Amino acid sequence: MTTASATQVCFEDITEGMEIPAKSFGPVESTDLVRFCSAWETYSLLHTYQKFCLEQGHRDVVINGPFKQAVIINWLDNWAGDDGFLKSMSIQHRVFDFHDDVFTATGVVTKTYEVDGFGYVNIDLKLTNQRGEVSCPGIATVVLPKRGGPPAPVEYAPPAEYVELLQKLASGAERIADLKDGQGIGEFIPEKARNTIGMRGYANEWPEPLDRATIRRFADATFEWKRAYRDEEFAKSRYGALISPPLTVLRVPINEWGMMGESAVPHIELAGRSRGGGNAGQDAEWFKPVKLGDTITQVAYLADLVERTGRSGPMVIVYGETVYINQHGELVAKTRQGTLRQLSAE
Amino acid sequence: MTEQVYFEDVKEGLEIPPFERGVVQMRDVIRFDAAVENYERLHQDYKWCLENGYPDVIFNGPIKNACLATMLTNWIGDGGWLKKLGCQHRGMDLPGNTLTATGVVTKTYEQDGMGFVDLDVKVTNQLGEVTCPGTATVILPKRDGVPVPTVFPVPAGASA
Amino acid sequence: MTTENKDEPRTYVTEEVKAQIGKEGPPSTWPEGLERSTLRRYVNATEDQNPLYRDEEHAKNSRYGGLIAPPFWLASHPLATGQRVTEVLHMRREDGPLPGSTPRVQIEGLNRGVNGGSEIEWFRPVYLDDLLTYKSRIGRFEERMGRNGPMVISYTETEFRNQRGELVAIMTGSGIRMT
Repeated sequence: MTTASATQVCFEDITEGMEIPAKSFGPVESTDLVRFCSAWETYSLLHTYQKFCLEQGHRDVVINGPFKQAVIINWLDNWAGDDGFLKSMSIQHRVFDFHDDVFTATGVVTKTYEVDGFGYVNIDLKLTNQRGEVSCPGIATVVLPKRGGPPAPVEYAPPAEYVELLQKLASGAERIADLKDGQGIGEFIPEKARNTIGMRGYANEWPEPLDRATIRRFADATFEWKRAYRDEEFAKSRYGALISPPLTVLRVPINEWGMMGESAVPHIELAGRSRGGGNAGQDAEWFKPVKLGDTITQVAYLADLVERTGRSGPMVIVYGETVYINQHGELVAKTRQGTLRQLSAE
Repeated sequence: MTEQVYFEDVKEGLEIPPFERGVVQMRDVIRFDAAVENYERLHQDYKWCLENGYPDVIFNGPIKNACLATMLTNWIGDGGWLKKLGCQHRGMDLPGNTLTATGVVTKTYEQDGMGFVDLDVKVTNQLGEVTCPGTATVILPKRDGVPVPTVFPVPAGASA
Repeated sequence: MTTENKDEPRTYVTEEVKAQIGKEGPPSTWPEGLERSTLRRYVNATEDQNPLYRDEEHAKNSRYGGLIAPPFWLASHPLATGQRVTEVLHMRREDGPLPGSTPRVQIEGLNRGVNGGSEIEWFRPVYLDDLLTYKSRIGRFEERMGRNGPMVISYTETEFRNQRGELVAIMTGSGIRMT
């Protein structure tokens, strides 16, 4: 077991209401965006080509959601230190952010509690841009070691309902979750769409096992210098192999591999005319790191359809969930993503 | 799969099958930059390019060298060896340009028992501009069945 | 050695310039060997369908015996342009010459520089997991009279070697200096 560094934050240091040290990032340069898109393997012009962005009416290149997630993850993951573990992070995307923007990540501890002798810390967080807009409000949970105690666990058991889900997936079933009472009720949600809740959608397997080049690209793209991602000797002693930053496992293939987000769930038709489809945000939970040599399979399914009425009228939020499974069939991470569809009656 | 081309089949003046890279969009430029980890502003930052007097993002030169190399390795097949490729970047290419690599045999000769072929090669865009001219040398197998080596001696003058 | 005489053409390749021949820049080693993801990205980005670079079975049965990189791959990466992978994230130009770079040569009187092109000669293939190191040195100078006046062509040689120290390729780059 390696000795915790002197700067390792421990559970005893945390009090409810305290502020997490803020971290700034930016101005976001073109190089940062292209390097990030390269690691993620997306070549979307919206996030790289100013000429296209200006033609679309944007003021400059639009920063993609995952990039902002990466900034937040970098902040929390580094605060948690070598011995901490970023357990979950849920954020919403509220505004467009652009090339040259500067972000500041801030957070407040809302709750501290113990589980199995380790400290759990819930945080309310905000990623704010230099215009004072909150780009990404959210929450996160970090697991911390106790002073003088062992590092936070690197493996967490999936919740009970996911054990069953994984079994259904492995069996090749089309329906991998049951439709619960009260789900998918709405004027604009036809019966057929409602019955699609719980059905599996798009699945994808990584094109090759995770290699050193990919880990380094992700670490470079997200400015990660933690030993776990850079120092193979240290990483072997702690995890058995070099690991990749948390965001890596969430890379959803676009362009070369297939689809992302809402388009990964089974197709559904809503009543009325719908427009929109913006990335409303993502809830992510991690159960173990992704290691050198791992191959991840990700399977999306339709988790829920929620109808709401907002300022712009009725809308349905399409919730997709994706489970990320390694080659041993273990749950590495899961995400839940909401996509807004603004509706108008025909 | 195309058949192996042999040294005996090649004569001066032969035009080798071209490599039509097709339309290279900005997406493809970024994909190439990403593959080779080249994040130079000239090859991805539209704003910087305009500020510095360029009409658009400029293609990474190696995109064109790669077109030439791919044309040659496609032609020589599993049995050949690409020995030399030299070229100059004479003109800029912008996103949306169509690239075609072509080549013509200029000389065939034997050296150290192997069949050498020299070629003039070039990348031309849809405006007819030759933005990347060059020369190449390949070694082709002979019909005697002796495989072309994959290891070549260090030239005199290179550090040992 | 050369007597300055206003009737004689000036030589720009002075003794001082000639003394730079053979001068080497610092070596640069790739951060990792040729990995599958690296190979996949490159063949897709260049739209190269050759099974020697994509199909492991096919490559194993060929005279190469395994997956290899397309020959140009090793020169497709930026060589010391200031954007070179991880090194650059925490290096500044003030820290000294970037790994893989060529020592700079000043040629007095010829201040305009144009890239003259480059030529690569290959000696060995690059296999999966091969780790490349390259080093550049000043090769030679050629003096010529161009249409617009005198010019000097400087040649830089970059040697690529694998982890066994075997020579994989030599790239000769040329720069044209003019008034």
